[in-house]
Amino acid sequence: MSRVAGLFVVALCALASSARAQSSVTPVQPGSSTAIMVSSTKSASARDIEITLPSVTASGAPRSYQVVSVPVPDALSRSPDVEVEIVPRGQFVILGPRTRALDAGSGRKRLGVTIGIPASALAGRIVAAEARFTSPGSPTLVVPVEIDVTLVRVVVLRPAAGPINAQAGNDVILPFDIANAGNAIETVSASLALPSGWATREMHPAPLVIAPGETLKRRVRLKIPALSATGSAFVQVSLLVGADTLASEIMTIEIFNSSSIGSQSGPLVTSAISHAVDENGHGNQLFTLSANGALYDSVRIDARMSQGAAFGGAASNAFARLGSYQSSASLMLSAPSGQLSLGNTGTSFSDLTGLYPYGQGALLHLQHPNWNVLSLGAMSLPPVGSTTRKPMFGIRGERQFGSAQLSTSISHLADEGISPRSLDAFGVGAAVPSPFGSTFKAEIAERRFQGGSGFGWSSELVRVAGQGNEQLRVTHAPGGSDAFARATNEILANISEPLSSRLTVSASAWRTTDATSVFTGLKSNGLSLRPQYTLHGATTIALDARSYVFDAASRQTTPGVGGAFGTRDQQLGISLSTYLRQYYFNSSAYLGNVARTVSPSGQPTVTDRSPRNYWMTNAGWSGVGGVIEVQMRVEQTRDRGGFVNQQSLFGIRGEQVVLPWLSGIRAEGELQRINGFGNETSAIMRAGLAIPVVNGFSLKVDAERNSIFHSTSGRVPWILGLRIEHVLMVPMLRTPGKSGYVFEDLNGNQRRDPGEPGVPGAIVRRGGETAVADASGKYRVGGDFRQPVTIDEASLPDGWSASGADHSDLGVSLSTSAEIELVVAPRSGIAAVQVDLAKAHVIARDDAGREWGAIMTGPTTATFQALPIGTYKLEFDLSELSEPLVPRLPIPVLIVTGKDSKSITIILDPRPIRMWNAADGRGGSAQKK
Amino acid sequence: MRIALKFFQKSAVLLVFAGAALVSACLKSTEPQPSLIDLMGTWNYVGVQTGPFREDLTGTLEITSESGTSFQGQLNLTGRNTQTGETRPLNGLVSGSEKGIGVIDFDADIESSLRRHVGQIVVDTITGTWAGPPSGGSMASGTFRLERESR
Repeated sequence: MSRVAGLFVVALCALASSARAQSSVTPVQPGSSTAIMVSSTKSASARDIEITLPSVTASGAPRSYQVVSVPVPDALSRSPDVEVEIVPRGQFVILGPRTRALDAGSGRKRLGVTIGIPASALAGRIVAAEARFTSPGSPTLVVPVEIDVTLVRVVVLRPAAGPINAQAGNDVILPFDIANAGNAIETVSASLALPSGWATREMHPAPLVIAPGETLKRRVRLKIPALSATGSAFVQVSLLVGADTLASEIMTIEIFNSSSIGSQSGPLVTSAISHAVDENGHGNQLFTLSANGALYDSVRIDARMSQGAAFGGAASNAFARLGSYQSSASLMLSAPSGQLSLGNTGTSFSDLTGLYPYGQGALLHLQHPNWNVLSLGAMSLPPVGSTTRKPMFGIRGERQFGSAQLSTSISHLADEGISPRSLDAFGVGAAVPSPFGSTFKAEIAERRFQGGSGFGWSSELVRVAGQGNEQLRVTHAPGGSDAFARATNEILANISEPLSSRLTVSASAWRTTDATSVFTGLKSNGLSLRPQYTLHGATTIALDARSYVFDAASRQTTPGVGGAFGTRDQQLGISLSTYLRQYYFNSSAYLGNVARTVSPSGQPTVTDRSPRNYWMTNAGWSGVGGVIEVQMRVEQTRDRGGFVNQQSLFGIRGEQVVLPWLSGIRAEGELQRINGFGNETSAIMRAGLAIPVVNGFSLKVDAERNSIFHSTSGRVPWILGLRIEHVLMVPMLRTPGKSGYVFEDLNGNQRRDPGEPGVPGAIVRRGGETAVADASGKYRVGGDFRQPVTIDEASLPDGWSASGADHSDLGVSLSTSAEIELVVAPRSGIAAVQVDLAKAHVIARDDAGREWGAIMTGPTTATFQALPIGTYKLEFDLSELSEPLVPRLPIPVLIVTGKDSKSITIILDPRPIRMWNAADGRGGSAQKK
Repeated sequence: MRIALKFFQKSAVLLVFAGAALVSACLKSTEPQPSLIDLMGTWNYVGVQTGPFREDLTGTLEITSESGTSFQGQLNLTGRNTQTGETRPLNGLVSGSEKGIGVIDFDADIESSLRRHVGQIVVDTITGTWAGPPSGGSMASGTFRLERESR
């Protein structure tokens, strides 16, 4: 009983000391322990009883050490034998001895403890250690040591390793990691600064909650404008907490803009359903499906079909605005070696054996460097209101014989309709090189058509040289356009020639005559002359003179129709075109007249002649962010005679305009006012939006009010159109392309040896396809397998160049300069020989036999500006020197290591002069050897 | 560079609007005269293009004004390529006149070129042929038939 009473006395003293201890360290913070906790076991000695005193608090940052002064409890302040044990908590560490002995009675009232705060310590107050004071006969007094860990906000943004490449017009995924390297939970939002015209596919990105030590992987999908040019684009990603930017990185994306779909991706399957309301309020629907892209290496698919129709011009117009077109089903597979087309298909065999026959069937085109074969088998489409179809087939073969090309074709073509066509033809042709770089082509053919037959012929002279070109074509095709030709007779001449660096002249003239089931005679002829002068780089001015005449004589057999009519149109104009950066301006004005004649059957000819003058201008801005243009056209003719008279048009339009504040939605719009014919006016108002949604879905909406579309009640309604589109990129049938490594060919042996590192970021090309080597130097590129894979040396660091290929591995090496010092030796010690070495040719030949030429950079110095690593044999061509010299043997080899410039000296010896005595009969003069 | 750009922009805009204002101010419409023909209203258009490619043409011709023997209106067509099945809208302004007895002659401004139509009117039907500037070496030409839908 007395023992327990004694313990309570000690406890009361400890309480009193704790009050003083707190006042000597730091004020007690809310939430900290303020109570004295007493714990003991039933059979415990005094030492087994623990009394927790108020804590001592200090503050510090992670990764720091704090020295904390811990007061000795008052209850032990007179004890000469106090033991202290410092017990760390969690990952906190204690520097120095953990147990110490104190003589509190000597006046030592405090204890210094050095605590290391771990890097992972979370922000806030944490118990870091306990100071456990014991003394004989006294309970254990525990003083917690709390560390108020200061807030550290560190969020790290790590872009994914390796280059990011994308095709213009496609989406690109931007991967990056967000790591919270601080000591508090952060709620961050990502902000993107995109190049002009780009858009993010994420409509409303949610903030990210990230715990200390946690790393989140994020991928942002971006839409790259189709008009983006090949090159580097930069996207800045910033991580924000409130208004604070915690991290920011600029990521580089390499954009490639080729006409084909990138080979790294499979076909793009686009399905869309479009709905449009026509002028009378009727709904029209059209479903379209297309697939375009690479099926696998070098093999591409282009397929499309549609279901539905547009009734009425307004709906058809709306569908066109939405990019939806009605078409027959077709499928085309194309490869460098050939093309197969199924479904709705067509081709042209030649001017004489059939132009533009189309139908439903198959087309096969096989291509070889020395020959190609084209064949078609199809049924013509039935005309509206009929089921009649006609079979069509034909085949054309071409073969190269030296520089000449021979061809032959045979065809049986026909179709149905109001004006049916038919042709059975067999022809042979040739194309041969002609003087001045031109090509002469000729063909003859037997043509049989509806109502007759004849022998056709055509010839053409074509020359294309640099920026100039000339063409002269003469064709006679009996049967004309009713027998799958352009016309019965045609003569055509085109020429375009640069006369100086600033002046270019283009001219053309043509004459055609034809006869069809509708017209007994259909004649046209015309000419144009256009000199164009470049005022400065971006501004050109041109004069334009043109004349066009046609005469049409209708067949009397056509019910209600007869007679003839014709038009002669002559114009003289001037035009100006210029641009500055993305702004452009074009304007042209024409003065002229039009004469129109009509000769109805049995009536006198009526002739009208009227001036026709017009001026049109458009100016605007064009970039990846869209096109905005103002346009104007004013036309004036006499107020009679069938001309669209005194018409003026003023408009402003925008196409594919990016609205960056609306998540990259693209907008289109048009306002146009047309004044014409007296007080008559009409107007077009149109607005459209292209809205990317999610998962490849997008919406297009279009609204147009066009005076040309009236309802039956005469009202001009708004024509509304909606297109819901889904785009799906499907994988290729097999991994495309050729793969290999771009590597540093350190020893110049053009083989990849162990230890030779890859070259990340190197761009390789095969035909029109492009790929970028990854971080290990590996690349994969598609394209025509028959073409070589080459390195774009512009993508290599300075001084590096392609050194050769070992199968699919492409070596690059550091090129260095090498100097060859030529020293002319004195002749037999008699006298120095003075020779001008400027015409000396020094050649280095590498192991592959390739020659590298040096240039004379000094009187006696030949310099190789850039030699790849390797060993070279030196060769000398000294035949152009005034004095015969020979290099002294042995000629040393030139070894280029790629590190330092190399310099070697070559001694050139004059040929010795030997003298003979003429008397001995073996020679009579000095002879050079 | 920036100054040059601004100058360019201002000059281009001023030139466009000044020129447009000048020319439009010069435009003067002829006063309408009493109509000597009776073509006002809607006509159903059915036609074909026989060259350079085959196309079925359907739509309407809206005659909206007449003056003397001339008339103006709008043509609103849908063309269907009979070889490929593809369709396309063909819209434009129309201006014409009556030439001779019952001969209707008009131009339709379609795709920036004038298609000359000449036909014979019999009661409420006009039948004829049309031709236009060449495209790809072939003249665009064909037949048409107009039937009056409403007056």
